[in-house]
Amino acid sequence: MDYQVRLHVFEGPFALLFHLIEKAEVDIYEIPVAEITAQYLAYLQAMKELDLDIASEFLVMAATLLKLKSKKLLPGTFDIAAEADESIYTIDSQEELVQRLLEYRHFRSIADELRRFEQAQKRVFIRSLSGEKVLLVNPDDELTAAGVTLPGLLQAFQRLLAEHNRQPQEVTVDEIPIQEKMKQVMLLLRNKEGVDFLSLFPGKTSVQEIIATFFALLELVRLRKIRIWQPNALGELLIMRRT
Amino acid sequence: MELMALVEALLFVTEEPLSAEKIAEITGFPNTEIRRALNDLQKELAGNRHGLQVTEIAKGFQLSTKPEAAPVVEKLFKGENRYTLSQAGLETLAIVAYRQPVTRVDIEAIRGVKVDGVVDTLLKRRFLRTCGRKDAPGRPILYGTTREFLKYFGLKDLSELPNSAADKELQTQTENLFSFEQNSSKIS
Repeated sequence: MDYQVRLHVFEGPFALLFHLIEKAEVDIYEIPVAEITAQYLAYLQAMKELDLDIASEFLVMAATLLKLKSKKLLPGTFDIAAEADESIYTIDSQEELVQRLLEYRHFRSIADELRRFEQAQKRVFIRSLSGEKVLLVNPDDELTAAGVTLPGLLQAFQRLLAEHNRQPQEVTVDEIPIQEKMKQVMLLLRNKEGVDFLSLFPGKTSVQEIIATFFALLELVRLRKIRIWQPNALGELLIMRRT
Repeated sequence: MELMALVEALLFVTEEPLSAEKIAEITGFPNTEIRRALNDLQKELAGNRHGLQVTEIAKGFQLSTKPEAAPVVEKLFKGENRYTLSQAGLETLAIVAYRQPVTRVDIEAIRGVKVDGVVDTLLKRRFLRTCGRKDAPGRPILYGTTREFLKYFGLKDLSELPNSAADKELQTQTENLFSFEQNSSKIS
């Protein structure tokens, strides 16, 4: 019989533990360690069977739960001296586990409140920076004070070219197609949210490449594939992938 | 021109929230009169006949549109596509806001996951800043929130964070519990 296994992906071990505790409908102060440990391990096993990557934090928590379970079964067996080496970040007792869970839950609810603050503040607008600044974002897009302007981008490139002119060069006749550069930039952004402007020009980039990159960036902005930010007025630019 | 009107003009032009002290410096009037003028301005703008308000945010004062005007003002920006924080970013910021200064490891102990990427992003977005190093092995970097953080959430200062009494209590509990364990094992 065909069936689909749908496994909810949890962000971390605390999230998973909370889910299990809520499902078991037990009080957080009275967690049945043996049962919860069994369910937790069963979940990890399911992840393994589905060939999902298990982050190391989940494994550390598994070890912690097993330790707590063992302590309960065989109290007094553990060497106090060994525990003296444990940092304040490890969980050594059920009490400590509960405390960590309480903190996790506390900050989850605080995050919800801050989300409300965020949304409320989004309804409040201040005077946008006016002037001849044309923002390098699509007009249908958000208007942010950190969006870089065309003069800003030109300045960044001018600095780069000035820097470049100080170094001896070979004269090459290669033409670098802008499409190539565009693909390169998007590749760099494949696994990251954003890259520094300067990381687009590693080592010995030729002038043609610099100019090709300039046009590639403009085109990518026009195609709404990237955004360019300038967090400080004279600081480094940030190229960010648009999701 | 009345002081209230001068203050209004300043608030219109400024790009960052202005503190009463700064306004006092610029206008040459004493702090108390500035505060009264700000108060008067707030009252003047209250009600349905004005779309602007004066709010205290990020340790200063700012002229902004009233939330009631949002549906219309938003249209000037053509769409809702504005930046929002990810859940991970929000939770991380929450921890730093209440417990600052904190190290990455402190944050990870509470969230239960690695926070390197999130912290880097929050630093880039200027919601977080570094504030020295902890006097502990490895001398890890300490993080705190910024003015941008206050502005983003519409907070006057950190005292406006909700539930801070509950947080203090919880924090004390946690500290006692975890350091007690460490100390007690040293004794034996």
